[in-house]
Amino acid sequence: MKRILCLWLPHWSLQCLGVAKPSLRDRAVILRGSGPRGGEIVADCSSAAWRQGIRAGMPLAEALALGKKSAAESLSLEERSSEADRDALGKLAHWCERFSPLVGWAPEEDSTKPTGSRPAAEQHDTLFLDITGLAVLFGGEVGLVRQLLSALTAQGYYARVAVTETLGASYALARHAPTDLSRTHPPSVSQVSHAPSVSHAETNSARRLPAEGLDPTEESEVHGGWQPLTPGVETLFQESGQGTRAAAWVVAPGRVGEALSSLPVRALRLPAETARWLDELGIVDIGQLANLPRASLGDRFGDVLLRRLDQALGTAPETLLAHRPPPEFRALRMLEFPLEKREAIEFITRELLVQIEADLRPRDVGALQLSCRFDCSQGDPVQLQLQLFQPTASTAHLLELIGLQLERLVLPGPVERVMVEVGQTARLQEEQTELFPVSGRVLPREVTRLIDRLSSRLGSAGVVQPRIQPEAQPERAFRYIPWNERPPERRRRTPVASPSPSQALARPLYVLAPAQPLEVLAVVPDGPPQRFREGGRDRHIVRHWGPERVETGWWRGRSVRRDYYRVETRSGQRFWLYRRLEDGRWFLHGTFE
Amino acid sequence: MNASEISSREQVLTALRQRVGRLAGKERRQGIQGVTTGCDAFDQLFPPGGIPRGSLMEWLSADCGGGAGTLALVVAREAAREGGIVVVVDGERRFYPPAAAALGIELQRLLVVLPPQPQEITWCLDQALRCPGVAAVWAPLTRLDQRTFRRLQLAAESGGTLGLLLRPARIRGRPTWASWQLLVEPRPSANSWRLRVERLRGTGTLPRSQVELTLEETSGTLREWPAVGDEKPADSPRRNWG
Repeated sequence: MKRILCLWLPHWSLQCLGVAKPSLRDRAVILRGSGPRGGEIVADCSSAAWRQGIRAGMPLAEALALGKKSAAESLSLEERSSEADRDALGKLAHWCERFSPLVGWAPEEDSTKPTGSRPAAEQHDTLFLDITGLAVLFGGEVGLVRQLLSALTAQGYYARVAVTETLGASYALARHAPTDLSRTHPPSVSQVSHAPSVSHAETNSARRLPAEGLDPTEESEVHGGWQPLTPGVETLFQESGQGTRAAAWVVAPGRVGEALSSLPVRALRLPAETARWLDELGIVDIGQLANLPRASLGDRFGDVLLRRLDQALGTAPETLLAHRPPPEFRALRMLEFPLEKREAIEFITRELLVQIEADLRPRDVGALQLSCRFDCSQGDPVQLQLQLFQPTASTAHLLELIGLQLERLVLPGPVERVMVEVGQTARLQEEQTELFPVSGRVLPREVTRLIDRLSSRLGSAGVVQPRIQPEAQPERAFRYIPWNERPPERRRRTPVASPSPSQALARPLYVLAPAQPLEVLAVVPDGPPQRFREGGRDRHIVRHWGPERVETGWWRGRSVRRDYYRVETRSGQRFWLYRRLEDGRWFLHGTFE
Repeated sequence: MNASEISSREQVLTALRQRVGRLAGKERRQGIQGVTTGCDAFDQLFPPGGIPRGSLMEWLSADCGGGAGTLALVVAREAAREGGIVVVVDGERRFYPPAAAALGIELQRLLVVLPPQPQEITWCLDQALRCPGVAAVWAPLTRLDQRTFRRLQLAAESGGTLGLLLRPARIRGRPTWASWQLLVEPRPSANSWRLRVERLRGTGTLPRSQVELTLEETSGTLREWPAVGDEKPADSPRRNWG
């Protein structure tokens, strides 16, 4: 049973700002951003600014005017780039690895992109942790969440956490679950939520509180009871400057549907249009949505809605996008003096390959795909690609293959920078797997090297293995598979009987593509030609085998209807002819070399 | 002369013949079998141990449809019988794998190389011949200059590979680096495919220099002609290419 934890950091940009510049806490801060029509707007604002009447999405000029009017405190205008936010989130993700080895983001899809005035910075504010099976290490999921929140609060961050079985449900709960249901005091004016891209009026159950990230929390520890509000959902409360509110939800296994039923439909990460339609139809929460017949939902609103619903309820899969990409094997050298000589460039490449080998070997992986890039002082950079048949970490082998391509490379100018990068890796095989079933004089490694060398120079389409296809049309009776893409051979003790013609001499060794039209000199009605002209000579036929009728391919469009004859001429030469049945024309298709 | 003198003279002659044979023949690698086809008549064109590996062999044919390539492929098949792969370098894109399969070549151990340009053909040949894991290389080759030829011969020697080059008959008489040169001509026959093979170049003193073979239709077995059941047709003039 998977358990996904969603960590939502509301107003992430402001939180980062608050951590970066602690002096701004408790002050009225406006984050500037650019609006959809190019003017400057308020991207986000702190609660102090909120109290002055400033809202997100408002034009900046208006906000400044409001600020001057209230004159309670001076407004601070700040700016933050979304890259900085993303980096900070990445650092936080890295920090979160103490709670789970798999930390990441939801896979980006177009439907989650903002529309309207929602600033892009707010997109980077959610992290997901896969905590399947990890709860025992922290004293239960409750303990894990408590520790996580405490640690975050200690750093000065404010977050909301939800733990359910699916990514979608955790996301929905963390962002949209009501935070102050259990408090008895009425929500104050400042708690009216703001800024979502949907313009309809907010209901009580969907509140987002302004800018708590900049307000210091009184308690650095998260405490408060875990109270089951809805059956199966444990809620944790956190004390903060604005009172106690719910900060985390842990949903018991199997209770996802119930937990989600009272959340608004928006929580499902729907495109804005779909959400608007649903609202117009009066479908407000997920419970209502889930009760509607699926077929009509799919028809009306498209795949996205159904997919999101399934993902939230757990019937469709959704995977985390890990924030930590797989390790890269890359070596780079910047040259002080640009190099022109091939030997020198090869020398540098060799050193880089040695570095990469040193990275690859301890991990017991080999390179399957390598690229080598030369940045020249004039002209475009030149790139070499290498595709290998078997993973290898050997510097000598890789250098040899690169050398083959380097020989024919034309560099536009002296080389300033050399970079070697491994694209694809695979486990190194300890011993050579047998490429061929028969042992004896076979040296598989030598043959592998040969294939690599040939493929490197000719391309993978140049080194092929033929496979027989069960096709009547002779041109299609076989196909070539590049050796690099051969599926692994199973070991066979006996050779496989391939569906080739049973007669040894039934097919010619040379087949002409396309078939050559023949000048036929004498024809017996419905029989083979007796004489034909080929290669500037007359050929007299003394023996023939056939006709072998081939009628096929009608499903491919143009059908093929031929009568094939094997013929032997007076001098003993053998040819393969056919008569096209549609018009009776004769063609030479092959010669028995 | 009395009997003992005659016999001792015979012995001396035999011993001398063997020594000359050894000196004139190629140095065979220890323990590596030569290639035999199982057809005595054909094998007698070559030294007793079979066609020595690590050498180049030219198969000459005067016109198309002559059977030289098929015979060469049969030899390649035998060369790979104990192990190793067969490499076909198909510069002209005419090779038809189902025919090779019908002749008994294992497709799993057949590597077809398709050089995109004619200039690459000799490089591919060089690489394939050099590789010890390759038993035989089969390639049609029209033009070949002496220097490249020598390089290929050295490559075949170093890799222990048998190189089978299909060449046009007009190069007959020109200097060559191949250890063996065979001319294959088709002959008319009533029953099977009759081919005449003449050894134009070879090393060592060998019993026969030409042989007439038949390739059986269904099984592809090589036999000497006339085999049982073959009728001798009326002899037609030799150079009748019509």
